[in-house]
Amino acid sequence: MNNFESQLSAFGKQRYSQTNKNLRYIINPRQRNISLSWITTPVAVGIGILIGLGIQLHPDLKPQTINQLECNETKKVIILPEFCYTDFATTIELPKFEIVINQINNEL
Amino acid sequence: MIFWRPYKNISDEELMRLVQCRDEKAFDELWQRYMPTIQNFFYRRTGGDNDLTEDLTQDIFLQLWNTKTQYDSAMKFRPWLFTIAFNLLRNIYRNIDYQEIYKTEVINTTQEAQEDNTALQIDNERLFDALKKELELLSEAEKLLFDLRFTDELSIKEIAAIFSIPEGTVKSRLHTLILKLRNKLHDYE
Repeated sequence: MNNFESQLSAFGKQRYSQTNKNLRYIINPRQRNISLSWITTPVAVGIGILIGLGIQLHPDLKPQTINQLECNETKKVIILPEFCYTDFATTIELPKFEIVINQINNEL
Repeated sequence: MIFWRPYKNISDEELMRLVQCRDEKAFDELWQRYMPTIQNFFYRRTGGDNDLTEDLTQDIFLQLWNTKTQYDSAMKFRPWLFTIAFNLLRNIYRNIDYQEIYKTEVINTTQEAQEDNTALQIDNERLFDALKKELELLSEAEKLLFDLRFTDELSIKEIAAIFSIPEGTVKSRLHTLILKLRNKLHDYE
């Protein structure tokens, strides 16, 4: 490499380092995905727990026994026939088995 | 780490072979090595657009990961990466006025250089200023060739691989380019 080419190389190096001064740090796309998962995973788990607790605590969504349902005479429930003589009731939606709790009580 | 060898001691090509086996640490090492170079390359060619530079740099490494199986391990990694970068730029320039952007970038860099002259030798200052002006007058192909050779410091062989042309052609074009600049700048040498 002659002297002029060395000067061109020196110019190139200067150009490179001056450009570097203007650059922002870029996050590795793989790390960015991971860092997002660090945020989203606990949030998703938290939301899941809250929904789970809500289901557990909400009276309309809790599995209830017939004895508990008897306290609320206007409540409609779905009863599967094989469980009619047990203390189990479920909220699975099967319209043909939908009856008013008072009617169950009368039949029982 | 492969057995006792830390990733920083592994060649680019070996790292790429590990990436092909979904080794994420190998990908991180390539990112550490080449992110600044690629970012610098894009910044100079997008008129100093940091957002576009960031997007393109992210894109190229995502492409690297997504197309890892297409990498031929017999090929040198650096020219392969620059080829992806070059193709990405070609797609972008279909929509952007490259000529206008390049001029803006060169002018900005010139202004920055004028503000930061303390580290330069006095003889070189005059030459560099004149060189910047001459670069603006070059064709796009010449500008790119100049940058790849002198700013990105790629070898003749690597440049030949990027443009898919024989090494002899690169040498000849480079020789013509240097001669052209030398004739115009001989007063500053």
